[in-house]
Amino acid sequence: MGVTCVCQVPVAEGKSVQQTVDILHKKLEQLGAVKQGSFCVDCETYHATGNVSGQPSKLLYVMHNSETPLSCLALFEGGPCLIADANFDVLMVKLKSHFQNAKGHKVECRGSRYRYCDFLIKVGTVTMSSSARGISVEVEYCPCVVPGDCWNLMKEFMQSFLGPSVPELPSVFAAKPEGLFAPADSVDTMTQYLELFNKLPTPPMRARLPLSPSPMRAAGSGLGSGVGLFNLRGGQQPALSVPDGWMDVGDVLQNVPVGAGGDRGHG
Amino acid sequence: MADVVNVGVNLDAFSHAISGIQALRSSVSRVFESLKDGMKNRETLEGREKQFIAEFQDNLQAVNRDLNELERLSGLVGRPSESHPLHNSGLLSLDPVQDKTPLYSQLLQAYKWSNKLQYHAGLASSLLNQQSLKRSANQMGASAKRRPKVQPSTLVLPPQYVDDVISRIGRMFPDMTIELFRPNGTSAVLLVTLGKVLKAIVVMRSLFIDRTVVRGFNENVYNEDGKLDIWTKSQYQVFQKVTDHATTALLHYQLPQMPDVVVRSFMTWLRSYIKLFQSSCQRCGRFLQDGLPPTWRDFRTLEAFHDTCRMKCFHLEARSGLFTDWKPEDQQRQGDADQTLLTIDSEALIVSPEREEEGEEDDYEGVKQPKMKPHQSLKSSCCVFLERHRRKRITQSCSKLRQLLPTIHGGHVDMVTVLETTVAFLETVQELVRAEHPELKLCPPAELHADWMLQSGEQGGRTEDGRRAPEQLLIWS
Repeated sequence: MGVTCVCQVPVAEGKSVQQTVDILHKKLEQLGAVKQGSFCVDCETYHATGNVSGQPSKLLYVMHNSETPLSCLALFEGGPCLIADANFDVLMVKLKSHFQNAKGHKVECRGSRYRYCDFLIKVGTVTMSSSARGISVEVEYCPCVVPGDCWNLMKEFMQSFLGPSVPELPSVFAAKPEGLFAPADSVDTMTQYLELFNKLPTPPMRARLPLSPSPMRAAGSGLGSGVGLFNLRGGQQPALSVPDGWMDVGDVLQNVPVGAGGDRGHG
Repeated sequence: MADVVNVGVNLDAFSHAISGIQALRSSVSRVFESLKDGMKNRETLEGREKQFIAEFQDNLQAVNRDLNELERLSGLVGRPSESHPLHNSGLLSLDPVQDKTPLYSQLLQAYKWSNKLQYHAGLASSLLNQQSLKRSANQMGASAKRRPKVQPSTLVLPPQYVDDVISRIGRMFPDMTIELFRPNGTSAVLLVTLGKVLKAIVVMRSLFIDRTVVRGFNENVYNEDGKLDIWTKSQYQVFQKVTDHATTALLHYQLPQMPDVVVRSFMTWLRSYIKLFQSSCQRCGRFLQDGLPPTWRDFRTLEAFHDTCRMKCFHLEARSGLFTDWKPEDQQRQGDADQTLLTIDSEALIVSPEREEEGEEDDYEGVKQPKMKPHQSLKSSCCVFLERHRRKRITQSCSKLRQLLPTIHGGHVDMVTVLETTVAFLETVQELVRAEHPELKLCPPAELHADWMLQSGEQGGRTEDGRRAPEQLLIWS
């Protein structure tokens, strides 16, 4: 378990997500990295019920990482976190009354895993409800456990294949009480992924309109601020519907009346 | 098998003692048998009892007799010689089975040979030290005082002494902790933890370091039994490289008479890895080369280099003496380097015999430099070391220059003549070049020039103006 840095790579101009990922793969292979299978990081959101109304309800994120397949991480944003074994998912099912699963908000990041010398590089596509929303790159330097020591080294490495879009030192490390010289662990990695998932913007409608006018679902902005649904049918006015219990959407594309009956999108 | 060796045991008495033991065994078993059989059938009860008691007494007396006999014989046998050199391996001689390989006799011969070797080497080193070709008498005097009067055999040291030395070294550096284990007999195994960077396992043989394995801070050092795992390599390439370098360091730091100095020097060198991931290479300035940080630490200066960069650095140093314009920066760098050398117990290293060509140095010194005053203090012995190193470089460059100049024949020619001849030669060459191609300027090879520019740029030195004619360079090499 070494020092990890997760960053987002912007999609190249005029290219699709898949093409940008392929470009990154090619650069890595030119550097001499060896592909070693695939990886998957996913995150489910649970909405804590039983709160006093008026107070924003806390969101619990349950994350899995294929690098630690037997573990499961549960954390509140900026709050305490828990590392448990894989049966935690079953426990969450049993706690349905206290934590409601936001089923449309499972975010996944899948991609290939490369190994270069002592570096582990994972290039993945972030998807939510099977629509690609961005590209994430995770670079892990395994031999070192102290982020302050090896940050320069990692930055130099990332520059060699990411080019200009090299990130800054992740804030999780700076935010710790001992600062940069506390040993890093898997919680820091998952916190960085969570920040990345929350930062990803809504993809533009253009990219996601199908060629034939068939019903389509659109999801709103990030996980923390609620959900908006958009149901398109050919020739009909778009109807907006919000499932019970969720907050209103922040970025509604059009000011449309809420469909009382009839068209109702699924949560 | 036993006839090769004098075990120090009286073999006759030994065999008698063995039969004595057998006799004792049989008399004891007779006692118990008679007890088991009980009283024999006789007419009267008293008769029976009397006979039983008499028999019992006889048996016990026989036991007593046999025991005394055995004690007497064992006194005769004598103890095996205490000075048996092989300790536990000497018990191989007691194996009655004749193997195909005469293991014990070969073992003994090897041990005798190594003893003789050590003895002769000690003699040779003392002789060589007497006729040392060092420059200053001060060094001789200081080293003679410093050598301990009684020289115990450094192969057999009491474990307490080893423990003391190691704990003293452990206290020297605050960020390095050394734990000592003795999992297999008297050999110590050290677990050195350096900050949060690495863990090194050092296997020792009395106070000599045998081998070492370096692993990462988050790797497991214990195997399934809970014992220290001294064989598995690290799973990270960077620490595999550091292990290789550490093994090279073990070969480099050698001083048979003073093994504790060697251990201290090795630990000082190992401690320089505290900044393994933070340092950039001194030569190329980058952090990564083929995915590895600079893993090589120079043995004298403890500077960080990539494995591939240190080779180039060596060549650069060898040629740097030729071009005097670059000398001030180089010398300043070398001077700093020599200062840090002293952290590695150079005073003790001074004692060991020099291995370079001493003849030329003497020749040079006879012409040029005055001898050091004998009453100078220990601090100036450090200056002597610096000065000697500088003069060594001058001599090496001088000899190379001699070989390069076409007009000088072989044999002793002093520095002054060489320099004068070089000046004349270069003037001739420049005139010839100017005659043929007036626009050309003489310059060193572009690559070498670029390297020196990089170095002088690092030192914050002056730019070399007038040295680069970008259009046309006459490259010599």
